[in-house]
Amino acid sequence: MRKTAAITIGFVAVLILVGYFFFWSDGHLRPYEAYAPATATVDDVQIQAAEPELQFDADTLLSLEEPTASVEIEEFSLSTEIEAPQIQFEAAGAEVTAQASGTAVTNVEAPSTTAAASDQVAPATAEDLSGADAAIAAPGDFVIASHVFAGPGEIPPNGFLAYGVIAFPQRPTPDTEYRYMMLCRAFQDTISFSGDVAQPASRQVVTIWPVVNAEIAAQIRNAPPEERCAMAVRHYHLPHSEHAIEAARVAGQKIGVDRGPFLFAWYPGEWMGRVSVPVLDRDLSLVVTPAQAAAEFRAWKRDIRNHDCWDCANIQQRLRRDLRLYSDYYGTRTIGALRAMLTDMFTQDGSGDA
Amino acid sequence: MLKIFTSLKTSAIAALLLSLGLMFWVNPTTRDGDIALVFVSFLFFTLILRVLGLLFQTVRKVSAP
Repeated sequence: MRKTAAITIGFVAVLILVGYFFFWSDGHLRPYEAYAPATATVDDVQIQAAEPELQFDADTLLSLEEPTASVEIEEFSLSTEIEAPQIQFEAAGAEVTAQASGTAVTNVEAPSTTAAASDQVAPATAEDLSGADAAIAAPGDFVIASHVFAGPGEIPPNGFLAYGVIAFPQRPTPDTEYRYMMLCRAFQDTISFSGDVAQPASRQVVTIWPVVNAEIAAQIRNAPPEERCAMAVRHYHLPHSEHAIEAARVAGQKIGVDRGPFLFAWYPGEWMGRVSVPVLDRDLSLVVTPAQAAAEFRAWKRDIRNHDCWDCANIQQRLRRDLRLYSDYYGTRTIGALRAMLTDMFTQDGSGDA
Repeated sequence: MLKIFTSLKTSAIAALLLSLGLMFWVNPTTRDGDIALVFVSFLFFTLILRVLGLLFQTVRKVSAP
């Protein structure tokens, strides 16, 4: 008996330890090495070229046939300066230096040096990349989420890095208006208004609350913040929402018949409606409280910041979110059922005794 | 009170601790959500731990000379 108890306790302790280490990398706790700036392995460097067809006259490793091209290099050194951004690749004795103004999106993993590059890279200089955007995003140049109320003529909005939509599958009714208002307030209070953001539009992923026409949208934008939601809910534009839901379905998202709303974002925005493109999505159907709504929009902002990896699933965050939503959504019912069951039990016992 | 605690099965205590830990980690936003999560996860963990306990016992019995 003692042995069994000891084994059980040991097993639980192991479970807790495994759980701790499994969730260790979630958010605030990171290995020290993740902050080390020295050398790093970059999985995927995207160089956004202003001129398509820009190609290196060398062995095939680097090519920019499309405005955005992925470059996979296994070994290189990375050096950056905020004033003069520079990325330097070294592979098998050859060297490529890209120096220009603009952005390059990088995924920097834990610092390490991996195996040698398999292909030779011919020298290329800054002249080769003239007009190309190739630099690491400076600290003040990060991508930020913003919101805007827009009418049909203003969608898709011009100049933004990407855009998203908050899509309800139906218009508000007297029964559901409270929930729309709650979600709109959370949306407005959590995500900054596009006009108030310091970043240029090209560094913003804007989430749109669609309204029936551009005049109403302008009125809402000019109204005091506390009055915007009442107007935005009353004039919600269902056709654009349905269009967004269909576009997400076309892109491969499994959208059920839940009450929504759904948050969708396409990067770049022109990809909306294309087949099998990455779509950032979030289902808010189970949201019942303002605290949940705010948490969902905070998570939406966090997801947008990782705009170069919208397909990457974070199992821990998803599990935590789902458990929270389900326990809040079904909690009242579960407790109600338990209470009714217990009441019935005690009442029957009482009547039996009598 | 001490009697109640000492009479509790180890698996029940472990399940309760695990379900409380889960509640803190998940952090539901409503009181009913908290209670429902603890209740359901307690049942779940109890089931898991009891099954594991039975498995250990069976293995011990089989491996005993």
